[in-house]
Amino acid sequence: MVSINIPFFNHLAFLKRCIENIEKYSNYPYELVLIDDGSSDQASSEYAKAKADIYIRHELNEGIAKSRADGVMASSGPYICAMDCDVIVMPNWLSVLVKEFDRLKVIEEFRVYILGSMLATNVDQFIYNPEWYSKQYGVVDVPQISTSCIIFEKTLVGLIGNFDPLLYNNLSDLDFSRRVTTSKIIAGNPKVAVTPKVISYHHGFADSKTGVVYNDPNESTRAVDLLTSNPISHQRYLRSLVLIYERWGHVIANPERIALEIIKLSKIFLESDKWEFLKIDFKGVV
Amino acid sequence: MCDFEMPFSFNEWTIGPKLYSWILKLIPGDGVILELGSGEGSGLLSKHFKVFSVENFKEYMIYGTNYIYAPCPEGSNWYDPQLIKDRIPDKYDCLLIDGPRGGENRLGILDNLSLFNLDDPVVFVDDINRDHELRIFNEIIGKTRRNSIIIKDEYGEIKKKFGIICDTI
Repeated sequence: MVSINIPFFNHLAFLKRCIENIEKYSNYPYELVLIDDGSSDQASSEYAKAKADIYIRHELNEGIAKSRADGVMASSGPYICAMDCDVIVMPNWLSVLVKEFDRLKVIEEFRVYILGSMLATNVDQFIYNPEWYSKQYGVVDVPQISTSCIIFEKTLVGLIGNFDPLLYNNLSDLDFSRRVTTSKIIAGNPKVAVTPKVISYHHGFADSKTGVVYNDPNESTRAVDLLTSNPISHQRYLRSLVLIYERWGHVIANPERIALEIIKLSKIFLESDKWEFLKIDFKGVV
Repeated sequence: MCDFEMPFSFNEWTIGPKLYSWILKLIPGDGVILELGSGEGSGLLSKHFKVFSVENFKEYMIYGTNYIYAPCPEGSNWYDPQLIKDRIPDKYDCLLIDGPRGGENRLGILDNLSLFNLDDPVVFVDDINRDHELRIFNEIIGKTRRNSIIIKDEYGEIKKKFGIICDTI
């Protein structure tokens, strides 16, 4: 069985479409674990309660990493599919994802510990045609992966630890997958990979491209968009960047980019009058 | 501990298998459970934990736990709070709300929440597929503002739900 973990914060329309597609197109046994990260919209919460096999409710918005970590701990497993609430899946996606994961975890030269679906980056490309995608791309071995639609074994968290609640937004994905690809403990030349045999569409890309910004103050899935308007998000994101730089600055491709981002955000932080009460934490950073 | 063996099977009147496994998952091995309502499941839990059972019917006090006999006073359908007050343990890791029998009768806890520590122990509320139990679950969350989990516990023909109120999983 696969435990499909989906954290969400409001946005009933996205969540509904995501779950309707899962119900319609999943041809493999699964349980639905929905993590309500402090939604203020009661309709989203009620919908999720009715649909979930396991419904987890955070009374306060605790962030995507804590939500994912709680989802993993609550899951019956043995496979976890971590997904965003604004993803659309296609026919037979789950059986193909499991089959491909099972195949790639026993190859002699390497072992895939986390496998992601290929994400279509705009809706026009989102034609369910895995043959076409497979011709264009092979299985892609990646150093890190976005947790929009990935599968791994629950036992993996016993080896490398769970998603780190200290890290904000997609930085927890980076950290989680980097712990696999740099691990000296887990066996078999560990890899993180993406398969073109499963395609999913992720709204997040489209939104960041079109500049659509949501109005929720503690948005779980798109907090980055709100950094300059929400001091708490800003502080959490900045703290996460510092942690990521400390942990992975020596292996990531462009550590300078993260360093510059930290400096930029820290300056915004220090120069803003309205965030006075939070400044003390970051005076040493800039 | 139960000093005799009895065959156990999960049924409509016992806690469900998932509730049982979640208690094993969240409560430490030497933990103390305070349960409202006693039944076959109590005997099962007493194999792993120190269980205190508040019970209003003597005929159900046969499952080998530490019983707190608290019949309902006349005109009330809930345990006598005076009989519970001084006899429940000072500290417990888990509060399991699964009694008294008859869903509406359980609502009496809402007038007696001050008897219990709701801030630290893991609180389980069984049968929240039913309105009265769901109300108890929601009111405790509203009062404590703690995180919660709702789990479907379905086996055979039986379709139940239970709720957990806890800080971490």
